Amino acid sequence: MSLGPAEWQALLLTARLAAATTAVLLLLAPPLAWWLAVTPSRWRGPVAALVALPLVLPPTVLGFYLLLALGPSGPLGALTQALGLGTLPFTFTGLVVASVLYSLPFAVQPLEAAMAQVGRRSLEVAATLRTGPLAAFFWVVLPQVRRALVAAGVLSFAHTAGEFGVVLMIGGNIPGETRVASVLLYDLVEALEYERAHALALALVLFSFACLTYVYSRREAWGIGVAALERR
Amino acid sequence: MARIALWMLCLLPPLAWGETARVAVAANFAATFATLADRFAATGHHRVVASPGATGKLVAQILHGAPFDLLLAADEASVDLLVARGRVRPQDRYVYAEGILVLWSADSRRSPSPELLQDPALQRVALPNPRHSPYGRAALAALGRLAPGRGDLEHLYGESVAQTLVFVERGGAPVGFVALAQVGDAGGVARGSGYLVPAAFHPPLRQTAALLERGRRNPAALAFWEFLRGAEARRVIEAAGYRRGEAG
Repeated sequence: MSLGPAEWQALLLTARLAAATTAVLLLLAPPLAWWLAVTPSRWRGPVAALVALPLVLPPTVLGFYLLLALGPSGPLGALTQALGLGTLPFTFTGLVVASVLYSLPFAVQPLEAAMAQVGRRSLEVAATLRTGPLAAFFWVVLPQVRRALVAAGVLSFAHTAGEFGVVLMIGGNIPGETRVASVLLYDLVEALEYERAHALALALVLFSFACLTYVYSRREAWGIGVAALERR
Repeated sequence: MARIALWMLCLLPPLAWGETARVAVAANFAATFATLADRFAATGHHRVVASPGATGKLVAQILHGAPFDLLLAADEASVDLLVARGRVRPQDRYVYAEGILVLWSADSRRSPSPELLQDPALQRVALPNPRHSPYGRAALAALGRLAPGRGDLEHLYGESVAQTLVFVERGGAPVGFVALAQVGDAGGVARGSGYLVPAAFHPPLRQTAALLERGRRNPAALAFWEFLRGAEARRVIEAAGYRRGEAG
């Protein structure tokens, strides 16, 4: 059982996609998670629900709406075309946009749990020491949730690598551009190439298992948040 | 180590001496296309890469801006639609192959036949989803001719002929409708056993190629467009289990 060039190409593309998605999420998720953790706003519930939607929605729903919105006749598609970026579906960039939405809860939720433990109080303490809220966020909050940051990154990476439905809808199965490992696997099965499919599937299983082992072996990485949830 | 280095080379973007064309390929033609792509690469310095799928899905993707240069559809109607939508010029199309429908079983002793479809013991038949697969529509028409009055026969829909083949091969249904090229070649069914459905029993599977907007500017796409209707490609296509397409 071994991996051929097409498999390596797909695995490398998957890794690139997961890395790009994780990088974007590590920028977006901390402020969003912090807002969710401390806001008294009545919008907290709906926003948290929106972030969590990809956990329960079929990926095809997300893929379908992204295809409509980002396609040549969609509102966002018109915008990207006006900006000279072309349209995003069926491109690598389009997959990154979709994956960021799809993996958002996996980045936000561990961070939010950890940040809720840090709490508003640390900002208030920092304020008495004349530290502004922004500086306090960077120097007080983030260092305390660094393990949750790592967990958020690993989970986002692993979840994106396991993506299938969204990619199938807006990816278009283009080698080297949008044919990620899960889509190639589907192709191999349809061509009855079970031997090659096995090798690729096994590679994905081992990778996902390694990621999750990392996360669950460092339970504190989720922040005390998970422990608190488990006590309930 | 050398092998790994070789693989890494394959990951590099296409090098400067040739262009690459992206071809959306109907699922039934994927294996034949792979042979054609190899032959084509050997004739010059361009290459073609395939994105296989159900024709209906590929057309939907093209309408939503998928960056394909050529479409090798499983029917004519899909290309008619693209012409009507202004995505393909009326002259940029031809029939590259005519598909042969097979009622197929993974069991080499079963030998499917019209009688088998009439047998009440047969409860289920697999076919591609007629909604987006021309072979599915052909299979539905053939069922009307081969097994009239079998309204009780359960239909198991695959997403394309490719998935339908997997369903039957894995025991999802005892028999199913697939393309001859998937399970045999010009010599007949080579794996499992099958019944070649007479062409008169279903609308013809006139598999049509279309040159898409992007392809008109891509030298690799234009070169493959000519190659596909040349004598060499015709031989490969016929040997693979298709009736001949239009004269080039």
